[in-house]
Amino acid sequence: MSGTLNPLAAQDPPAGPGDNALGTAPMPAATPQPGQAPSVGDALSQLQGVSISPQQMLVGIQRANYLVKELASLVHSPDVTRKDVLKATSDAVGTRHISAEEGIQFLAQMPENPDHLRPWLQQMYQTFLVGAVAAHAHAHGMVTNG
Amino acid sequence: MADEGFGGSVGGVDAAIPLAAGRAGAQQGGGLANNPLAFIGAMNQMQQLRRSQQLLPGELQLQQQSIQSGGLGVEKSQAELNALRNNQVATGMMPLFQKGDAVTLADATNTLGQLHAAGYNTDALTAMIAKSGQTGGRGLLDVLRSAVTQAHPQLGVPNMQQVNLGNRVVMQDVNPFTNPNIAVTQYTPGFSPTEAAQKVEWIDNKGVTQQGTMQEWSRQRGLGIAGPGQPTPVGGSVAPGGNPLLGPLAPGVNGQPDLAGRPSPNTVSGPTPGVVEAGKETGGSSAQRFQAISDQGVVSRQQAGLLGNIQAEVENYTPGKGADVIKDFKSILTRLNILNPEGIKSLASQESVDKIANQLADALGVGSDARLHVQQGANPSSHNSPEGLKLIVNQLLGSADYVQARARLAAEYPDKGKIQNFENDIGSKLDPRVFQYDRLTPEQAQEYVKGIKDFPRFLRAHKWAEDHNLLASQQ
Repeated sequence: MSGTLNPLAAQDPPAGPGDNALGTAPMPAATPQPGQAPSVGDALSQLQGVSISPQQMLVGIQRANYLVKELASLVHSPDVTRKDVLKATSDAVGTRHISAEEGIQFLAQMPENPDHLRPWLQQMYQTFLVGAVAAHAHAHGMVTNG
Repeated sequence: MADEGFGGSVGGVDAAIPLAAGRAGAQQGGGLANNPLAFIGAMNQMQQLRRSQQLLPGELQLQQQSIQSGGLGVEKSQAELNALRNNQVATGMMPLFQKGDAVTLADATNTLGQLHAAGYNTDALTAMIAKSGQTGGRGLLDVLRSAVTQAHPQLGVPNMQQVNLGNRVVMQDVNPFTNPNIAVTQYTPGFSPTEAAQKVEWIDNKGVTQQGTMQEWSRQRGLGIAGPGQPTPVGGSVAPGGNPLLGPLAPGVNGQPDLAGRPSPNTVSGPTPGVVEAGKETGGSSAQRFQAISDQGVVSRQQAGLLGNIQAEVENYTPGKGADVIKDFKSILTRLNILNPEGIKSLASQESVDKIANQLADALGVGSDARLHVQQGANPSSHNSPEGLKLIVNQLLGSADYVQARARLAAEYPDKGKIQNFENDIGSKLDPRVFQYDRLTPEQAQEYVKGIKDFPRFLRAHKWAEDHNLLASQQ
């Protein structure tokens, strides 16, 4: 599962991160802290800064829906473990919802301390949820504004 | 950046008040420096600015009205803006509630995205979902319900209506934002409790005088409520589209004040179109105005005969493959010599059946009474079709009935010197829609009533016309 917050990230990213903001982008400099939730407006404004085809948009939304659902399951699992996160990430890669690189990057962020796992997952979930809403908003905006 | 376009005071209106909760704020969440999305791409500031200045549909007009009024209409515009927001949020959220327990997290993010694209700040809603742990079904709807009613308190007011459960009629909260057990398609709003309980008297089909409530009368007349799970045949206060939140809340429920201007069952408030028409007739004496009404009746009788011919043609009309219904309709009208040469010439420029029909309505001599104009069926697919033709011809026949009934009552009115009294006593009680409705087939009637927003008033007018033996079905 990707550590990026962009649900529209392409399945097959082009040559380099610098060429495509939606591709295999670098990880955030710092893990988001609880209480520092991104806004839909932030996410949307950045999606609007790049060129996305309708087909990419569709794929991105499907990807967002999948990732949000998986993260929700992890967050709300009463006794979630690092192993559960590892399996979910493996599944996401296996089903080609994310690339192997994205999966590795995501797992690299996972806290070692089990006590920090749930807050981190919660933060990831909220961030991905925001990203999903922004993706849908962007899609609706594309339909509305042409 | 995002909200700059709404800051400050505009024409005496603190623009931030109605819109503060509306625009999505890009500056929230600690800014880009703390935003983990920052790596994705550079912010397109121009696009953001454009979005920040984008108003919701209707808001621009309302804001301009506030500015033009110099502050006098501030409260009204504020209320209208809030109502507009409530309705838009309600409309946007409705598909989720219609899904019921089948709703998913993807449905929710889609709806939130749609609301955001429409200009609503969905951060709080999104955060509430994330925090709740709900991923779908009833639990997710409960979260959404709570969040929406916090952001839009008006949507959190129960809306009590009579609901037919098949074997009994009960009062039930039909607002899906306050009643989690209501399925949106399984209720039928109609009267307010006060209106439903109003005592009335009527003569049934056997000529026997009956007494009962307005609700009982309407049910006996077939104007009552639908069975469970069926689309309501009577719209009540529901706007087209079946959204209960776009209609007014029932008065007197949970401390709600009666709606301003809503008439009591025994009164008709405000000038009716007939009265307005009379007021426009500034020239001439009262007797001359009575004569004008009578003349309209004569013209209408002539037109009704022709409409009967159109009806016969339309009933037998079966378009072949690739047929142009509008062209064929024009051909029928021309062949029957319905309009004068100028009218026939103007037909050429009309591109929809309902426009042609309204041209015919004008030819009936009905003046500017918009209620006499035909309305299209609620189902767009019926427009410009044989079914659409039948619907509007029947409405036109009803319009002709109305004009003739009005002429007859005017002729019978004893004091020809007081046209205003006639309009107040008689004209105000006549409703052309009742006559149109009376001419419709049951299927057409079901469609027709969906467009009637002041349904109780329509029912009162129907009963009045029936009591006075004015309807074509009674002849």
